[in-house]
Amino acid sequence: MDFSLLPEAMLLTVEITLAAMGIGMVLGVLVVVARRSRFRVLRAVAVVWTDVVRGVPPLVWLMLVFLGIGLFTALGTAIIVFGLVASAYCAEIYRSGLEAVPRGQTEALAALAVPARTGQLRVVAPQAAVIAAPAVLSYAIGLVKDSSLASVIGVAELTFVANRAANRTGDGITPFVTVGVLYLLFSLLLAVAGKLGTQRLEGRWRTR
Amino acid sequence: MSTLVSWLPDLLEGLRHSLWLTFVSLLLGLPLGLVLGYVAELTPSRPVRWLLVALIELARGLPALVVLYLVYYGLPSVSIVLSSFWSVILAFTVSNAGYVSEIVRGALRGIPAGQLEACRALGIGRTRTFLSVIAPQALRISTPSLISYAAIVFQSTSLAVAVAEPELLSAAYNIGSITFEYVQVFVLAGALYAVVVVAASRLAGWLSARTAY
Repeated sequence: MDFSLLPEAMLLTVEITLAAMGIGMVLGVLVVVARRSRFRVLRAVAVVWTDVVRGVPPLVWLMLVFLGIGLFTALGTAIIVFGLVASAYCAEIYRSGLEAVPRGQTEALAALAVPARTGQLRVVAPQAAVIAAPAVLSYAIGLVKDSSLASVIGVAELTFVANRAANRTGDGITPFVTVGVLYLLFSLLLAVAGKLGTQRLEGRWRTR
Repeated sequence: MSTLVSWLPDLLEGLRHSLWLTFVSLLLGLPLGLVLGYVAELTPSRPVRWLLVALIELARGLPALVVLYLVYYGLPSVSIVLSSFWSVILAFTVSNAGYVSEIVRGALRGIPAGQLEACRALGIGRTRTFLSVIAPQALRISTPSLISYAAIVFQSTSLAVAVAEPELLSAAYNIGSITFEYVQVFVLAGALYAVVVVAASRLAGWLSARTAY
């Protein structure tokens, strides 16, 4: 296979993963805020969003947005779809993080007459972030693998390049083993970087 | 509306095939994962445990689509030609055995070590200990995660579209490529997937609330 195509393909895989994760982590905050809102309508919207987004396979979303809506490039579709899917999963992770912070703290904040928003933002949320960080990290590592689905709609990332090489050369082993190793390396790198980040986060909130 | 209804037989046939793929790959993947997880967690031999954990992690670390392509396009290079059906089953079994064994390992860790020791003290054989003491409890602990996991396998059968296996997404894609009404057909297919997945995850949630100690 033509190894010179790999760096660019790798870059696309990295781009899809990181961009989607960024969108998901930010949008996930909005979803979880809606989920915990005082307003029933917002809560219902958040529940429907997480159920529908997570209930439909990502590949169906990719095809629906790329072939059905057809407004975006293949790469754009992949980033948007994986970003939206990640927002639903991140919201659920954030929610379980928030629920893991003892309720007594919220009550104590209320008893001390700390405004609800300040208390949630400065006391509860930081602790929830530390609790949620490992799960967010493993979701990100899962996303590395999911990004391979983008090959089906024609994004020239690792799996696409391997698939094309296999079809051209008739060698169905070398290309897929090669990209398999690259996926593992990227996951490993992300795991190590994420672990360091998580520890920093933990250290920072502990000392305060 | 009437066109949507006219698509339903094909889509439901695809759904049936997706469920069948899920069933067969669970049928093969669960025992394999169970054995892997059991041995990896309880073997006294360190090299064996490390080797198994490494294999499990390797299988989990690769994208299922890459494993599927490797099986479908790669195995013929070494004179093993599988149909698309068995390629999908083999790929899913390989990439999922790791997940099952993680679930099983988690469940086994939830069973107090004292029970194993008690069985040994009572002179109960290893097989009997596993079948009558360990397995029933592990199954009870892991049922909710296994149901959620089955839902994940069901979703991942959509990857079979990449090797032209006639499951739900392929059926939808075929209809779309004839009618060009991609939005409608993918929304309909997506709804069918979501109904199954949401039902399964609600069931898992209900069971785990019920079986919690």
